[in-house]
Amino acid sequence: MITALQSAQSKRTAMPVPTARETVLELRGVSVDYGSLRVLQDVNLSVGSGELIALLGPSGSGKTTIIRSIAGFIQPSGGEIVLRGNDLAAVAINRRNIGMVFQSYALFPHLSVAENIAYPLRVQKKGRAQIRSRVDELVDLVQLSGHAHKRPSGLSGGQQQRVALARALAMDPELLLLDEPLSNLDANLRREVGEEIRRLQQRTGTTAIMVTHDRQEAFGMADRIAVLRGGRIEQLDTPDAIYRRPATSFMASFVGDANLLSGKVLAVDSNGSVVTTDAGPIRTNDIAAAGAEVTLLVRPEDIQLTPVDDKIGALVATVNETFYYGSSTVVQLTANGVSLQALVTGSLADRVHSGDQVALQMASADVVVVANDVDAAS
Amino acid sequence: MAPMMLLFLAGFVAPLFFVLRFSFDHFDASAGQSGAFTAEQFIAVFTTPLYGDLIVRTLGLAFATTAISALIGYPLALAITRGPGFLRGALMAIVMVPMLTSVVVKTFGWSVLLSSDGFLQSSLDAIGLASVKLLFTPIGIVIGLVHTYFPFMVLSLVTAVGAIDRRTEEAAESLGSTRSRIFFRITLPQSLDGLAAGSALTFVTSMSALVTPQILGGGKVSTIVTVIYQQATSAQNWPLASALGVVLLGITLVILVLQAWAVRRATR
Repeated sequence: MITALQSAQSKRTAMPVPTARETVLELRGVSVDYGSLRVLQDVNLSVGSGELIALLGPSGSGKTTIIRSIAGFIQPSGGEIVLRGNDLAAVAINRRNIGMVFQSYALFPHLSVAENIAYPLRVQKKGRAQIRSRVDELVDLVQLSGHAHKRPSGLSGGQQQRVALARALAMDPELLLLDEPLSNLDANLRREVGEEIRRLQQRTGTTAIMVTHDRQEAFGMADRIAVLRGGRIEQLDTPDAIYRRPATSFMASFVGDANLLSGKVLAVDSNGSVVTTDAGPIRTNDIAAAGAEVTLLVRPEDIQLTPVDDKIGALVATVNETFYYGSSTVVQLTANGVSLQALVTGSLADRVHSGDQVALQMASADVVVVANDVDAAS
Repeated sequence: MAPMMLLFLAGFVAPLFFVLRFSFDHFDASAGQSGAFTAEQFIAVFTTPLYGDLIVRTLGLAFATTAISALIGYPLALAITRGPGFLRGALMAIVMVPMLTSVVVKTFGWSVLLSSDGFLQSSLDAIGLASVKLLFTPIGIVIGLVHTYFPFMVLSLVTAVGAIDRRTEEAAESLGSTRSRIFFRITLPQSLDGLAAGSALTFVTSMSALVTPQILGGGKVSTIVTVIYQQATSAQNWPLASALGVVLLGITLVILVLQAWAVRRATR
């Protein structure tokens, strides 16, 4: 028992825990089994006050299991879930004071918008006047004035989403859980609603955990992202760190387009290393052991394309195809038989055509060494 | 379409028309039925306390049957829609068996169980409730009616409860509700259309039942239908039997209208 706790704590120290914020929720070594199938494995997570954490992962990675365990719909088979110092194992679902926004919204179809939002207040036996003013306030907050008397079936998807949010916020929850909050919305609405949720969460100072399989949602809304894979947290960090410095090659490709180049460390100095890859020698600011086999990550947008004779020593590649996406153009390249992808913005794209020879430039600060992926599921 | 319409007219509308026509005929105990156009049967039905009691008793039996069926039906419907697989099959079989058994067989079975030396009456006697009699009383009739007609209620509720998004109940629970509040504020309101349909079916069928009140009432407890039967067969008073039949039909129509109204309210 003691050793398990110690190992859990030592793992936790490896992760960046917000120091300035008061801890609201802590998961300590939480595991969940469905029969003989282990769907969550030793999950540790600490959520600070007012923070929004995104659980990002493919389907089946256990992210929904985590929030359903926090809400109380799933009993973990091991570990502790602690909310403001109280172990939740002994706390009934209806006494946890955790607001949940369901993926399907789960609005009460037989009640109006106002009655839906008033529901938790009625449960708390608040006074009539108090309920009315709180409901009015929330209806304004989620911009549904004029819709308060309607049934949920008379609202658009985005409006229903906001009712679900207002209903969860009405009870002034200690913690807000959002299960795939944007997945039932039209693609062109998602960013707008996501930004609106983020704004509301920050304005109300609500501590929140959201589940998503969409990395853009996670990047746009969260203070920190926990990437899940096979029931474990693979990496927990700020969106920037997750994108710039992914822990593994799996992470690198999961959170964005990635050029992954394996090679051998040729030389090391105080400024970094030079790695020989099949595409050619590449410089990185990371220090690696000389002679080690490593994998380098270069994001497509960090590769600059220049005319060949411009610089000596740069990698030379052939343009295979270009794909124009308006604000950016994706350029597929081959350098010494290695396929690479570059992202070109602005007018530069007009000058790149398939069949061209181009020189590739990348700042050594933008090239990072990532650990070779070991299958997390095994 | 046309042949179906003819069949419908000949087999369904015509008999009803004749019942309606007979209900306005004149009846004399010595001379029997004679063609007329008089409301005397209806006046008798609505002014004689005997018939007023009959109507109230019939409605009371049907209401008790419906209420008890709903009380049994909800737990059953919840268990069938949400319980483990083996339980669903077993409970569904228990619900369906009464529907697949002859009502005469079922009712004679009950008359044995309810009789003075039967298991249920002996049990009551043993716990000091000997004054409560089962056979040939309204209690016995309601027991028989519930057994015969509660499947209508359960099947309606199974459909309605099965259509509820269970996340709405989880949402209510996370918003602080107790189990009972979830049932009364979330589950029940969302299954009101099923409750209305099941109640209408149970009420109307138990109100129109003949065999169960006939056998379990033993002539001591009469309902509109047992009186219709008795008037049409032994008394040969078809005008009175028809008038009572028209009253019964009228009550049925009122209940169906009420049900439609309740469903519209619930699904508005």
